[in-house]
Amino acid sequence: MNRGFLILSILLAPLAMAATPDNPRDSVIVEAMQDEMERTKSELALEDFSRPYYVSFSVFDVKTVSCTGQNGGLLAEDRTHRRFLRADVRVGSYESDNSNSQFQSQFFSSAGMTRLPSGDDYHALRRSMWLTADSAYKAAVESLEKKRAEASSLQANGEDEDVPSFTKREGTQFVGDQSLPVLEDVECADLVERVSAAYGDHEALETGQADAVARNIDRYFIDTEGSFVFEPSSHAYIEAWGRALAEDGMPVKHMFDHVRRDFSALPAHDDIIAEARASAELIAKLRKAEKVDTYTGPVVFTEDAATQIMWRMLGNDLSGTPPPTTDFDSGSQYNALRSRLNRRVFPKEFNVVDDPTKDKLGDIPLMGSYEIDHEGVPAQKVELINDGMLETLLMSRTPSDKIAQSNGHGRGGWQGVEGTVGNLIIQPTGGQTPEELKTRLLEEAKREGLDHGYIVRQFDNPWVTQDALTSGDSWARQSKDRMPATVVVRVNADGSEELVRGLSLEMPLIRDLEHIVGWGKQSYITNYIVTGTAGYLQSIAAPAVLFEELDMPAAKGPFARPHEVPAP
Amino acid sequence: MHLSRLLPGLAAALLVSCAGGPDTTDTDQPTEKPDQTARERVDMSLVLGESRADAEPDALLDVMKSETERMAKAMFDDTANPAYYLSYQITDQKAREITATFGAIDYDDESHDRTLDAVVRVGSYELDNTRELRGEWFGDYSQSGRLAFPLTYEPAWRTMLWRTTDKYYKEAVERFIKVQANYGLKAPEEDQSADFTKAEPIEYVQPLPEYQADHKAWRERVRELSEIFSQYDYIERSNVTFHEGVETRYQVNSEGSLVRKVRHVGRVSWFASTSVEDGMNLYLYDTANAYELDSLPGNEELAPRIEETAKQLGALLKAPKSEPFIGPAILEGEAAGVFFHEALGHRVEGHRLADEDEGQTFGEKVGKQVLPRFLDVYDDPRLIEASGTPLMGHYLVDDQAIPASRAEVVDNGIFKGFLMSRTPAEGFDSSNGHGRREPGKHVVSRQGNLVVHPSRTVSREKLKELLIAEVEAQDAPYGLRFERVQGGFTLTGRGLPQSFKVLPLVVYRVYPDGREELIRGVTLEGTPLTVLSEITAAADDVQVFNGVCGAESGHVPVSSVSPSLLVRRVETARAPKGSERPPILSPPPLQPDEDDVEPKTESDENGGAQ
Repeated sequence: MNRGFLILSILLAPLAMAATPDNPRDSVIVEAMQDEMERTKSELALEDFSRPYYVSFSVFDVKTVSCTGQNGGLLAEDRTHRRFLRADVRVGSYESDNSNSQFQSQFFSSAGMTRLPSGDDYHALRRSMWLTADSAYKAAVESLEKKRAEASSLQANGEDEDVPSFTKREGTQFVGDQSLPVLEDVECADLVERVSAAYGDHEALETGQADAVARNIDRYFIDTEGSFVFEPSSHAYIEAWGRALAEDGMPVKHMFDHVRRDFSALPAHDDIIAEARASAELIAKLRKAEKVDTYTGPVVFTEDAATQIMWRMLGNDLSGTPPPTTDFDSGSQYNALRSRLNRRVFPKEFNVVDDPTKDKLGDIPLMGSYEIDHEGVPAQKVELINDGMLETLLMSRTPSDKIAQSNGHGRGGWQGVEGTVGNLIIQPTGGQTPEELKTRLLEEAKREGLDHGYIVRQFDNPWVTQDALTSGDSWARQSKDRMPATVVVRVNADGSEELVRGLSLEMPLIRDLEHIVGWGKQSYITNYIVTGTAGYLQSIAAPAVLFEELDMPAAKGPFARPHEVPAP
Repeated sequence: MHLSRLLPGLAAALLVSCAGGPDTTDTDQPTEKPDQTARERVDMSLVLGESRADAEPDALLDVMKSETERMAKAMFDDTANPAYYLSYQITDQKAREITATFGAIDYDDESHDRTLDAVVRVGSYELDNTRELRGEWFGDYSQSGRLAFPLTYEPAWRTMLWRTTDKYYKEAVERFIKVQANYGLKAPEEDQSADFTKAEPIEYVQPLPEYQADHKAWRERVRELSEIFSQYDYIERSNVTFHEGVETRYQVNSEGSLVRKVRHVGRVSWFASTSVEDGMNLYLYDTANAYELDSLPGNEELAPRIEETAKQLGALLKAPKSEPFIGPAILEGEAAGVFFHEALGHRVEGHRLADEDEGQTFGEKVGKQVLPRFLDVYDDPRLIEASGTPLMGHYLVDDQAIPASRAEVVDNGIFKGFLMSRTPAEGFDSSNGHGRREPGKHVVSRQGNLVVHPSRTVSREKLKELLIAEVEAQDAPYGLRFERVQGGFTLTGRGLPQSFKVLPLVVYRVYPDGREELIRGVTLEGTPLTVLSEITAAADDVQVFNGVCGAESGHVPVSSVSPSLLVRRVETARAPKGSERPPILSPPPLQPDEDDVEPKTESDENGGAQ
């Protein structure tokens, strides 16, 4: 977690910067993209089928340095350079095309997505683009025909009949001027060794691991509407965790992370190591903490858990991109927010915006910022929830029956583009100090006949690299929508606090958001890196919140027996 | 149940004529064997090798040794369920791989990592926790999976060894209790062998290697070589890859063995593919391997080979599709090697004898004739090259710290024995150094260098004459000549068809008038005992197939060495075919706004009949 109160330094101007092309329009990549896109638009056609009406090429040029350390030893150090191409080839028309159909699923077909050579060779780049566009076109024709065939046999549902497939717009011209850090200078091995040793060397701990990554991404985007986008970006992070076994065999964990634009802007290494030592001490205390029973009652989520709970509840469902058309309903397409447009979802004091144009909240960097989305649409600030009422959703260029236009939130990886979170900022008016919130927690507990309440500070699986839109949720669903809480404090009736262990959270429903009865003044911030093609970042800022009543089942044993072989 | 697969890749074929060998078709009489070492070089460094005392101190080996002693003491003294054997193997893999496509670097990656494999055995050599739980679908012996091991920091090494050992020991105790119950409850096993053989400890420490190649120069070399494919417009995808891999395996066990063995390989490989209007995908690849990187061919030698691959693909594009066929065929050495690897090799892996789910084709064949009398088959991992071609299946010490040795499989057509790991079988109670694994998998007996050696040979020209005679005798329209193969696979499990399949790349029809016609889309398949008995002659050539074989213990490098063989009757089938059309548009030009540089088209190339 990238907790606001732990951040010691803000973005620093990097000392050394990598060279970016003086004019990216003159680069070999762009020349190859433009020439092959032009040919795709004007010449690519199967007999008896129409030519594409829209083509876009996105190239992600990704350079990465990464290191992993475990218990003080270096597990791996890698430097890679990869290029990816996403070709969006559409047949039909803006009103009705091949997209957003179950047949278009990238899961079943690699059409439209491929790796490009990393070398700047015009012919080799074009050859890859040629084959990718060819596959994408054939897949698009097949998808459109299947879509039409299916439509001929299904009863119209009245909802989506007049909704276009894709919104039309003027091309975007944008050349980003961010200078990227020089990755050749990044040395991460020593850092991950020292950070993981802070865990591994602690006598109470079993394992500690640290991962450090620095990555530069040059993104190129052109389309047949005349768009040209060149957006360089970079990010770097360190994440670390430790694990120990309590005497009854139950594992206890804690982790932390920092995300910045540049490796050199991460907190001072000695400070990160000190943080790892503090984290290890906390784990040692968790080992000795009381294992508690199942609980139902008021719960406060603060620090990491404040953002984690909001992310899990809202992150996916704020997308307004309609699900693919299909003749079966697996249940996975249900979106609890989409059906609540123009209705209350939070207490009236809550306002929620997604603003990719903002790069800081106070002094704290927001890593989910960008200027142009993956469909060439300029990023926009979107007021999602005003006074507790849900007013709109995050949109790509795939409209829905309720929202007609993109609001510059179309981003995605291998799975294709959809409306996604950039910088999600949850900012209620008013708010309480931590002490006031604790008092309110005890009042709520007392009202329910309890002599204690709980404060959750961190959930398990809070990886910065967690694919917040896919793997995070599938993990939750696989575990029946439970989030294991790793750092939990019991607040007793007299106000005293004790670390406890062994509780999970039964995932609240959207309707439970209305039953938030208290919130803090301070915002906590978490940054996620959505893995896949190139990786893009998302940020969430949220205050501590007090839910009136939630279920927290206790972890069930038996756990593994303690060690039989003595430690070295 | 088992399906093993010899994967595409790493194929190398060098035609080298063999000295001597009478020109005769008298194929069924034992004869005096020619001197094999004239063609095959044996690595004697184990015999002559360094002792532990000669080597520089090795911190990792020292930690492994001291932790083995410490933990063995703790686990072996447990009075309730003592362990009796502990081993560690740490595989350190460094690799540099540079790939280029159509004149551009695709990627240039360097990697370095380590993997830990630990084995804890509870019980005794006779009966331990690894024994199969008969009649149970779940509960296989675990202790597997890739465990990343730190490259640095001694305390981290000790922690990782301890944590893994502790976990495996607890699992082993639990499983041993189940094994004892299962053993007492079920009917007596067909094979009453013990679970593990005892072995003398060895010490063998090879010097630590460094990269040998000039990687900067290789970047330019593969880029330049990959550009060759740009000249052929029918090639859709292609690449040229340089790989240098340095693998060091550290092994220590509680019996006192201590091993540091090194495998340093250089490889250049190339690949090209295209598609036919009918949806069939066609591809060819080739490889040059070396243990000494200086001996990899230069670009002046590689370029013509790559051009030949490109031209042969063009010829395949025009070739007619095959049809199912039964009749005579020549399996050239590379194809014959893969054929023996699949039909015979996997069935002589000794661990299958103790597994009641296995077909055990040769279980009752010891001392009986299974091949024509003019053929010997053996597996000798100590061989480092055959007729000038390096053998990738070479090693000196197996993954159970047993020195590799030559395993006689067939002698003068008579079946002799199996490839053994430390899993014994009835009548075969010691290892011959064939216990192998990919890091993260359990060791089982595997092939290394499988050698088919004929005592009577004919010239290649004569072999073709014999094929034509057989075509005429069978009144067949043609025979087949399998020139190059990509690999194959086989099923060995009981209750499954005891069949194998060889996947050819280049196959010709041979007509009675001697004319040859290239065909595409063919596979060679059959059942082992039938097809092996149909071999009638061998040529005086020796060819090598270097490949990667996947089976229960993962993927391991293997080699097959064989002369070209005449088989009286083979059966072929149509290869699977795709359904995608070739690309709609022609390939883009070589340069922007440049239409005058025209790539070669398929019609420019000579192909088909040879």
